[in-house]
Amino acid sequence: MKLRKPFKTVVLVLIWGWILLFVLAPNLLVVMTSFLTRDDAHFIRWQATLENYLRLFDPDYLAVFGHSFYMALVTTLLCLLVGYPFAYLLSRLRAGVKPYLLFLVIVPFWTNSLVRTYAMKLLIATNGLVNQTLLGLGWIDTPLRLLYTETAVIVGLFYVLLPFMILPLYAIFEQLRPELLEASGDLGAGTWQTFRRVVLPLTMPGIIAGCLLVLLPAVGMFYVGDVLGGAKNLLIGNVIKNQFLDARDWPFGAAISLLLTLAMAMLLYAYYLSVRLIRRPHAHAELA
Amino acid sequence: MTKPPAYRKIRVLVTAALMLQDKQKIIELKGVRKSFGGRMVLPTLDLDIFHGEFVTLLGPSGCGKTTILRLIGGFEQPDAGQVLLGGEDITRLDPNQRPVNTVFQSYALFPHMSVFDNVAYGLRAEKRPRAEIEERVARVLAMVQLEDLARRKPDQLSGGQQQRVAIARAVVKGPRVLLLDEPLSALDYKLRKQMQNELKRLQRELGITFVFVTHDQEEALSMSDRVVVLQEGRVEQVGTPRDVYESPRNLFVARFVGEINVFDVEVCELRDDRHLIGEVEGQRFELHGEISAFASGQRIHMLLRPEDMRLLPEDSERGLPGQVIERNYKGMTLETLIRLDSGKELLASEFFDESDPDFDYRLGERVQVSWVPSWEVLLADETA
Repeated sequence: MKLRKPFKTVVLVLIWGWILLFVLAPNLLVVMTSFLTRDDAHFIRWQATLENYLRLFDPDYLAVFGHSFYMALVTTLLCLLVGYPFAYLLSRLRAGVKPYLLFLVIVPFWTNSLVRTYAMKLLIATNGLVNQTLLGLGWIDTPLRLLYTETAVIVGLFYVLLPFMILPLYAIFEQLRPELLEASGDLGAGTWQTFRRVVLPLTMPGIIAGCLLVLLPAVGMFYVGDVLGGAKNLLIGNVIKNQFLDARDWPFGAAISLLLTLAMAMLLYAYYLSVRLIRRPHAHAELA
Repeated sequence: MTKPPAYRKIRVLVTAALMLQDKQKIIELKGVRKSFGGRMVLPTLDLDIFHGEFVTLLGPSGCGKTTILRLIGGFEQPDAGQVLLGGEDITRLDPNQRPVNTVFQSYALFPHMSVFDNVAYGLRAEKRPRAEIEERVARVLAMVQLEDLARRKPDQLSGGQQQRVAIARAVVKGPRVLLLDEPLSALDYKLRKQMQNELKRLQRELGITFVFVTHDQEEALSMSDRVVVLQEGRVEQVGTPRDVYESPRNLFVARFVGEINVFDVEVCELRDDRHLIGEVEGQRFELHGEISAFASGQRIHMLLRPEDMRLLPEDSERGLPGQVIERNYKGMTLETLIRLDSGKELLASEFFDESDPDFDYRLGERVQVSWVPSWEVLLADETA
């Protein structure tokens, strides 16, 4: 008993120290930076300003943010359309096959996603494998422009982020008791009604979790935008990266990251609310 | 509470009318076969279920009773044979097209819906008008005494309450047959007894056919109009609870439905078409039963329920000598395990009668074991 107390203290100090030093402090630095003025020689000057936040409303930047969100939304929708049925089928498979397919979903994680994005670039480049194959088959006469397009970015994001949609959905489908579907059919509901009134509401937490796990990185994965999107199809992540590394405007970069963090926090809060709505009794009736 | 005579007369008439209707078959299983992944669950099953009766499918786990229920409900398709409902072939219909509803073993209540929404589900699937839904749901909720809990979610209810919601949800559509898959197995003893009575009351009130699956023979006997005893997908016996208990058709039924003592008997002489002289444990007795199939010299079985056994003092002239080796107090009855001198062990169960001087035998005391004459059941030796 005597030994437990110091051990507990040490563990807690380590954890809290870690969080304070490596999470809270850097974030506070970012917050602080976002209210300071840019300086060419020393990156920042100790002069408080709100100008960085006002610049966020510059139409040029708003257009980039909007386009980035649009691509992220399309990516999320694609992931959901593919991931939802996939996760459902995966959960219905025989116990013997399941682990292997699940393994196939997880395998890509073993290769860094940056490497996989470069691999994709090689595939869809002007003289890449896809174009060469199509040319070889005689289906096209001139190489297609696949790289540096909006579609390339969306496909790249989709490819990298799909597992993040499948895994939470799979987890929730595993919890969905098959006898609930039988009960629905027994009570006279057809396939569509069963889906809309039983399957969809009960898997909603998984849908929201999956969408968040895809949507949030989809606006920030700057290297996908860099490698596949060229100069036109920027993600918010690219803008932030450019401010810090290329434009050397740390305060503005900090302001954009704070905007992004805030947007994510709001989405997470929405998720928390939606889960509570489904789990908590009465809430349904009150809102209806 | 005594009922006025006029009421009783009407009741008799109604009962008679219902009995006429009883003869109508509501469900017929014809040559139904089912196997799962090469394992034969139902070899070939024929079973008729009549209108308005409470039928119990009774058997040990794996006997195919749940499969039969799922075939009627439409959750499984037979490999061969037909399922008829009211004379119509429903073998290939989906569950949502059958006028049959199920109370699932796990209740299968929708966790995201209130009690009201759960019960209304089937009516909403039929797209009934809102007012009708509210009225009908309120009526069945009153029937199962859940009016006050209509807005609760299933996870805020006790097991017994969840059970009632499951029943209400299944009967609200007025199905022609209600299928119940071991619905009481998750409840504790006292609640189970209470729900047994409620289910019987509900079945009388609704007047629809209940097909009830259980492995609990006591439950089967106390609830049913008819019991179907199953083993490995075969129907071993169909009959009233009394038939099944008092006149089991074979050793499996006898052993599965209640406790039983089995004796080997050698037929010595056939007296007439109801009586024979048989040798039991080296003594000759006149035995009574359905004996037309037996011949002199044949080896048969004699079955006796523990409550039909009588223990007599050692000096009695009639009976099989033995020794008391165990006594179990069961509240209303006293169970005695006796080892006969031949080594055979018997179970006797007697009601308490404090005034009977012979009643209280001590452990180790020698007794004579007898039985109530003509209550024995004679069966051919199946192993022969």
